[in-house]
Amino acid sequence: MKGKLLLVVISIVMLVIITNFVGAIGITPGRTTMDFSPNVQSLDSSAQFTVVNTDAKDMNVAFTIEGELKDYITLDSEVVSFSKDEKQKSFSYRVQLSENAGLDPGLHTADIVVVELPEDIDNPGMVVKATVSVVTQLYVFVLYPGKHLEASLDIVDKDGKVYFYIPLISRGNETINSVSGEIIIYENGKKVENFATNDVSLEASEKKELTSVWTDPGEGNYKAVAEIDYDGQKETIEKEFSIGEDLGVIGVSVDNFLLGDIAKIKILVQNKLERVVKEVFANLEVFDSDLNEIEDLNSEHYEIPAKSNKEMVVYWDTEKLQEGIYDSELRIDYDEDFINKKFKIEVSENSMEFKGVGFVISEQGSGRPKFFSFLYIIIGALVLINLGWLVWCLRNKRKIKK
Amino acid sequence: MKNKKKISRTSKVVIAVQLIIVVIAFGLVLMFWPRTDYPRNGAVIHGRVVDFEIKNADFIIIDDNPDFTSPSRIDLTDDKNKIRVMLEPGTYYWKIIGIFEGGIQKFVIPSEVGLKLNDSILENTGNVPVNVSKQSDSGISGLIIIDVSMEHPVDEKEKTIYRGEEYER
Repeated sequence: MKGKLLLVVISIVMLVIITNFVGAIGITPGRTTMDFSPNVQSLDSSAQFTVVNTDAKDMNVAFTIEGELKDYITLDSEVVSFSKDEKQKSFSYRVQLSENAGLDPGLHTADIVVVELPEDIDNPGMVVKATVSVVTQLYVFVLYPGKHLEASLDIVDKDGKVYFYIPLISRGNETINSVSGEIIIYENGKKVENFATNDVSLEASEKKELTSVWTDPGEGNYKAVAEIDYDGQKETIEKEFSIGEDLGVIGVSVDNFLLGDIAKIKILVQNKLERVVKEVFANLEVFDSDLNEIEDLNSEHYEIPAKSNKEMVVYWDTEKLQEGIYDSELRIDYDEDFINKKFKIEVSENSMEFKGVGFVISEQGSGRPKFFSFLYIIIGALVLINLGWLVWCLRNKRKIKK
Repeated sequence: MKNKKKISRTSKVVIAVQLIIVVIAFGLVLMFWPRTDYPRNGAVIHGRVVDFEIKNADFIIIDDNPDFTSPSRIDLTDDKNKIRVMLEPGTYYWKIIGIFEGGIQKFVIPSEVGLKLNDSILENTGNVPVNVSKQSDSGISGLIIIDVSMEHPVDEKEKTIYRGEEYER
């Protein structure tokens, strides 16, 4: 009987210990990237990382190295203690790769794993509770001999224009003197437009970007083919895209608002498609001035008939809300797609207004014209004064001669 | 002789006027030149929120490449000196534009992988989405992706380590 009681007590104590354990740990950066050119020189480099004591508590952490490159990495520490006053600690590891390491061109990785141990344990093998570990990854790109280009294609439909961005990374050990591209647009297999991009040069491991813009696209489904030429070598990327949103937010409004009541937020959504869109719902996230989320509101699911508008409703209990300006993000989910809008919400005692907010892709972001017009005014003024002075001097000289 | 003196006096006046114009121009440039209090050039910022504290600017141009080929524009509409922006981890190049254009500056938001396990709930406390795998005596299994600030229920069994690493989109 006593034995059974003791077993029950031990089980309860163990359960309490297990369930009370809160594992919390962070590591930064999540990834470190290095380039290695085996034909040119060996790699001997150090990388720093920081372990974050998220919950500011006494704890031990243990380090292990895993992955393909683990034999090339040395780390001084194996187990380190944190006191509750130590919010974070920095560490470093050393990577040594010789010319004859035998690594093929391309990506090679290693993981530096940091596991949180309960404060009384200093060996991961002794962990009896569930715990957490975090990883800082090491990416080593072994450069290709000669010229080698990695490219992708990003397409952004913004303000009635289509922007094409081609991020480039030189993965070869030689400089690429000239990279340029042509973007060809196809609709139903037929070529409809083509645009040239800018021209850049790339040192080994350097990153740059090619860009182009389609200023007057019509709505429809298209395929973009980016043909990239780098010092005579070719690379082609294809990507399908469509212009024009299937759904659009026409407006967001609140009628008869009183601070402290439950606000009925009406979101007017337009279905531009020739078919019914089912399972449409809205999510509105509201943030305070510190960008902390203070509300996460969801609507019911709606069905919007073809080529028509629908009013979707989200309710917001404003009992604890104060007057002020809040940031918000509205997301309308439909099918497997979504649209996303940002608003500023101005809340007063008896009104709640949603105002569009810009975090806009700039077309001409430069302020140079203002600077140059100021400069031109100053130079113009000085030139005019000097011209007037010259004319006046010449006239007076003539008078003296006479 | 009288005319020569007149020319000499007028020349002095003209030079003085030009000097005054140049001094005023320099003064105006100094007065309206865009200034940055925060973030300092080369700053390393932890988290995802960046507070810009600037002077003499109408908007900020920001890009993840120094050529500003795909820039975003942040308008300073409400408080012209301060704005708070949420950004993904990465290296950012930025400049402020007012009457004049400020120089290009840079800051870095390093990725942070963070996990918290409490009451069988696994929370992403970092600033990047994480790939989470479960390591136990039976091996590695159960790969899940947890977005920033999101939670996921898990089995809090003994001798289990939930391992998080940066998710590559």
